[in-house]
Amino acid sequence: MKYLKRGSTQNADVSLLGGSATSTYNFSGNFYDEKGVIINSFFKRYNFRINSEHKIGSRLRIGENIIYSNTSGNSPDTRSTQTGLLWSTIRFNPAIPVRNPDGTWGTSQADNQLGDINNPVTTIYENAGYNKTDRILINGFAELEIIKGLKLRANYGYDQITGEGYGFSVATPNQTRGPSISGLNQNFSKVKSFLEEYFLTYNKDFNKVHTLGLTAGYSSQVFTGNYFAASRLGFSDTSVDQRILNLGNSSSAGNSGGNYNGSGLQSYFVRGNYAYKGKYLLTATFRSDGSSKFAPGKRWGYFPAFSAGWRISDEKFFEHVKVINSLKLTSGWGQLGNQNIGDFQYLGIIGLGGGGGLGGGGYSYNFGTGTVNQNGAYVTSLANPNITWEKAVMTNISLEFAALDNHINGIITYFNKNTSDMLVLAQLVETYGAQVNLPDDRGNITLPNVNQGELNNHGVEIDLNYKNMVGKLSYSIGVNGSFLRNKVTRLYGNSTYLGSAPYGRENVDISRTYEGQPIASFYGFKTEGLYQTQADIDKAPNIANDPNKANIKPGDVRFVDINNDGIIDDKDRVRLGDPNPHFVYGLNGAASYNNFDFSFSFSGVNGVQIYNADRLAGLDATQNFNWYEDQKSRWHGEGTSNSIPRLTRNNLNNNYRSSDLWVQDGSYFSLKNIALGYTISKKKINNVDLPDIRIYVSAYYVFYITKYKGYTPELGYTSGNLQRGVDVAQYPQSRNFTVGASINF
Amino acid sequence: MKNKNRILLYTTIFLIVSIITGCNKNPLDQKPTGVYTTGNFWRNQDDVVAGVTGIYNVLTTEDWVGHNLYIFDDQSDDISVEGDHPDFKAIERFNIDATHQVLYTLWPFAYEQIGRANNAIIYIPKVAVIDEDIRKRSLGEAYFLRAYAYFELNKLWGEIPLILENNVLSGTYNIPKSSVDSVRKQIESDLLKAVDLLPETYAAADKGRVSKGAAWGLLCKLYMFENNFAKAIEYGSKVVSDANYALAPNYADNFTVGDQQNNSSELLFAIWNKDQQIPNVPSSAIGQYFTPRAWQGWGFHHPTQNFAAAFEPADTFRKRATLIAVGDSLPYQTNVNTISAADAYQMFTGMEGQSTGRLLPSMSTTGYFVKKYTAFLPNGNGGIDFNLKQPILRSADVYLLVAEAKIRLSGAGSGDAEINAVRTRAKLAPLSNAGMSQLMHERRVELGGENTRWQDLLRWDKAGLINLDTIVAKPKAASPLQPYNGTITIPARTFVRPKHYYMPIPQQIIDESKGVITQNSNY
Repeated sequence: MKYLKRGSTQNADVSLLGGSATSTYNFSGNFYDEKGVIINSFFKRYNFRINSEHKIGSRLRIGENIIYSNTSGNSPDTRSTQTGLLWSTIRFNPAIPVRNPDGTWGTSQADNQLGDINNPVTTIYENAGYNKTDRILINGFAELEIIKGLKLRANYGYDQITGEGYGFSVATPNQTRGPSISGLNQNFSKVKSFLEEYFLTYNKDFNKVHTLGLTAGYSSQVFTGNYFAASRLGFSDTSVDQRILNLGNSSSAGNSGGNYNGSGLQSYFVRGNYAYKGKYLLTATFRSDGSSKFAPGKRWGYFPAFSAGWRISDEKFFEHVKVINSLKLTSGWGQLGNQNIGDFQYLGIIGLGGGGGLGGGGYSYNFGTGTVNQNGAYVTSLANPNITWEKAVMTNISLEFAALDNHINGIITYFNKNTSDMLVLAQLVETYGAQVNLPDDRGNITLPNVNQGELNNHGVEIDLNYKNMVGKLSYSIGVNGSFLRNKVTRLYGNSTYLGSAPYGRENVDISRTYEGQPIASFYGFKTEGLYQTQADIDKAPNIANDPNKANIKPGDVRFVDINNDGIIDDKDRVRLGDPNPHFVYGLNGAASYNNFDFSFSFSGVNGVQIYNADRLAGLDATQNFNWYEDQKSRWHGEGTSNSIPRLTRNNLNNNYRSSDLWVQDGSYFSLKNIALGYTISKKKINNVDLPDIRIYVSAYYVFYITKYKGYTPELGYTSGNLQRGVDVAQYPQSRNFTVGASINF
Repeated sequence: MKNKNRILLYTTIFLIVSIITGCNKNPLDQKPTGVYTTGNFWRNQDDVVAGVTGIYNVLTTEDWVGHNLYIFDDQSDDISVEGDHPDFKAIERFNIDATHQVLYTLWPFAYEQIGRANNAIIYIPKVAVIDEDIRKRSLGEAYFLRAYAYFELNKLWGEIPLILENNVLSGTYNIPKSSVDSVRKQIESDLLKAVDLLPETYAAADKGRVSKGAAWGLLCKLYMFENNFAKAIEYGSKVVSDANYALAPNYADNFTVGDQQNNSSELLFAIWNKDQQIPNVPSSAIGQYFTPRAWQGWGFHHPTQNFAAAFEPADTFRKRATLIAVGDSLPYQTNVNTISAADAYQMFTGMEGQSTGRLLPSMSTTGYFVKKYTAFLPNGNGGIDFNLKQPILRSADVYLLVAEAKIRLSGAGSGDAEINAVRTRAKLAPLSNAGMSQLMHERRVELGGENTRWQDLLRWDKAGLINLDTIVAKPKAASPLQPYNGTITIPARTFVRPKHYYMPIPQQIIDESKGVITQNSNY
């Protein structure tokens, strides 16, 4: 199918540096142009940056940093189980041609046995859209030395992002889910923030023995914004150059606009550090952070932190140790806050208006003998009045060293992080009332976040580097690895677990978070192969009392009866896997010889599972969709398969429920980047200095070594932080080769 | 050098000014704009009135009081279900399963009404400037409507979670069920507050709001469910003796557009429907569900011969106001249907192929429809008139509850006054020395089709006054006339005690609660 194609990327960088004794300046520009692997998907970015710093007299430094960037791109939805591009490409029935012989688009409407999804190529070609942003970020600072050692610094930052969205759809009435009428949506938005920060610092050195530093600071940042949007339908001419709003049917015009919710942050902090002969180091910080996202009384979080360091290698007794060049032990304890949620969740939104009737909804009611109903009001989105900071207490100990004439250096860290008042989306219960869950049929419910539980993450991180130079060859090699463990230590309230977004049209319950288990664990039935014969079914103890037994046929999945009651039901579900990797590692190296340079980086994860939900949909025969090729090796008689169930349109054994059939090893080892460059430098032509020119070839995401069969083992989160590592046809990571040049004046 | 000093000076001044004044004024003091929130609503009387109107709005919903509560009355012997809702039929036949969708969809709407009332109860007392009569009335309405929602849930499920002001203020909604007693204590407490707060009567523009009489009446009913006869008599008698809640002059006034508003004294609590005249959008669920299909309704509920036969021969006013029988028509009913071979009986004998606006045998499985929720617009289009109000609690119900309490407390004859008030209004001869069997008969025919029969039967069965087994063992039958010839529409059923006293908690509710809400025993 003409759907995925080879993408391409162009990238250009320019930078200028300059300076004098009292001033420095820097200008840089960047251009990036990517054409995605899905046809018509693209991303472009321009970036310009100017910064300068000036010393005025002996006491004042001022400076500024201005960044302008412009992006444009489109990022088609790949995942929706109705219209997602990648999802429907995998599912679109192959019996349908992309184009019919007469040039029209192939469609699932031709026959109701062909499923109900759109031709994905139609979707791509008959829709045009982009999102553009213009961003300007201006920072300025002034630093004044009041007396020696005492400095006052002020930072100001202004950030403004203007967004523009455009989406045109040509009517595709011959597609099952195609719009029956052409339409255009356009929107503009502006978000801006202003930041101010002040620091007063005092540094003093007493006889080179005691070093003391004190800082007090204040910062605040306010975000505001507004938007408007307009739409029209019914374009009589859908030629590319006629797709402007005014040419739509004016009677279909829709418009909307408003303010984005404002939000603000405010912080006060003090920090003190003390060092004795540079050997014993102590730091103490205390900060109080306020966030407008929480109700008055819940706004402020207080976060102390302490750390101590000991430079062992500076001790007398270490003088005779020659192999180790430096050795430092540090230990820290500190608290951190997180307020990364939507605004005003502590307030319920109240709707006021008319309407109502048989199906529920609306606001109004009739009294007396009036001819129109009276307007009513009610809470349309639920509040969480108690919402407050998520807090993390982090303890760490690390040992930093350099050895063998500094050829080797490394750091080993043990950390233990306990998160409390963890912020997650509230779980739906019907006692919230109908407005929260019914109108959208559970699609887009607006539930607030809640401080729901406690989470522990602990582990060891190791980072080792070796570098050396042999003649003209200099090289370095580094390894790093993290051993990680994650566990939900407590869930607040009555709930025994936290659910997450169900998958697909059958609403498969995939990920659950239970107390005592890793967050976002996979959940469902264990299986023991397939029933091969009727005799297997007749004598199977796991379904001895199952009312569904008569419907189970050879080739169906043998689910494990965990509670041994002879019935397969929801009580038999257990944890099936952990999407949080237990070991993450990397290997990277660089070398240069004369004008050549070479670098690579590998990375990998181990001890992790992936839930291949897309495979579940790709084998389920109850929908009229394309299947996975694996369907060819399905069970079709005794002994033919023990893992791919028989084909059945009725699926009375519910073979495609959440089970370990879809849980796969997600470990991988991959070459993320490799590059080779050659620099032509210091050439003079006719006494004119030519700039340094570096020519390079590089490749990204070169290969993955993995047992995982889906598009990519790197899947990320799909339902807040409560679902991870679930393959739902995410936009694939593409292999990427670059040839480039950089010029240094 | 001079220039540098000047920059130094200006910068210093700028820094000092900006630190003292701050560029971001009160950065945390952000307010949403363009929307009302729990933080900026409930400012004044208009907000209070709108907030209370919003609570009433939920009543109209089909999944809740607008219709689905009436499905459960089809478990009685009075009505049988027809149509394309298998779960309605399963409930009627006691094949009840926790996964039936109608059980589940009722919950969010019941709790929506409770939630809106909770908000009103929290915020109305905080409104600074408001007419104090309106404040009291509005708060009383909120307490009443919360109590009503909990009472309906309690009747169906017994034990249910109690979401109250504190749950809203603390955002804790996933809580276990409360015992039957504590749910009823909460209902009682809300209704007693409503009694104190609500006015006895309303001006014409506010008819349809609940009054003190509604709260007295609902309290009386609640006490009857608790067999607390003294209290039932105490509060019920307040309705009986109050001229503001007098029985309407004619029984049919309670179920007739116009008369309902003119003679509304008896309608203690009713959904005050108003036809919104929106094409293809029924303004009232009850009218849509009870009106025959051939007359633009959905026609789910068909009264049985068992019920029709219960009327005394002289009880013609009530019977005609309660039932539509084959051959009947209604004012403004202009939908015309062709008489088929299957219809050509009774008055249609020999009329095959002709057209009629009357009820044909093929339109009803039993020969009857409930008339109380059906009227047609006078414009001649044959559209259902959604202006018909939906009575939920009538004075006559309270009269008979008081009579029942008196009989059960002091023996036969002690409830004669209240029973005879109801009978006299129905233009029937008074009774003397009436006992429970006469009282039960009177409730059945007086309140037919008004979602009281099944709950009465359950109440009486629990009290050992009747045996439900024998009632449900009697098949539901159609009219004895042709073409029905007394066909059995629902065969004998089996009532399992105590399982069928309550419904199973919907499985989805249990699942979503992550096990905090447990299934009712016996399911």
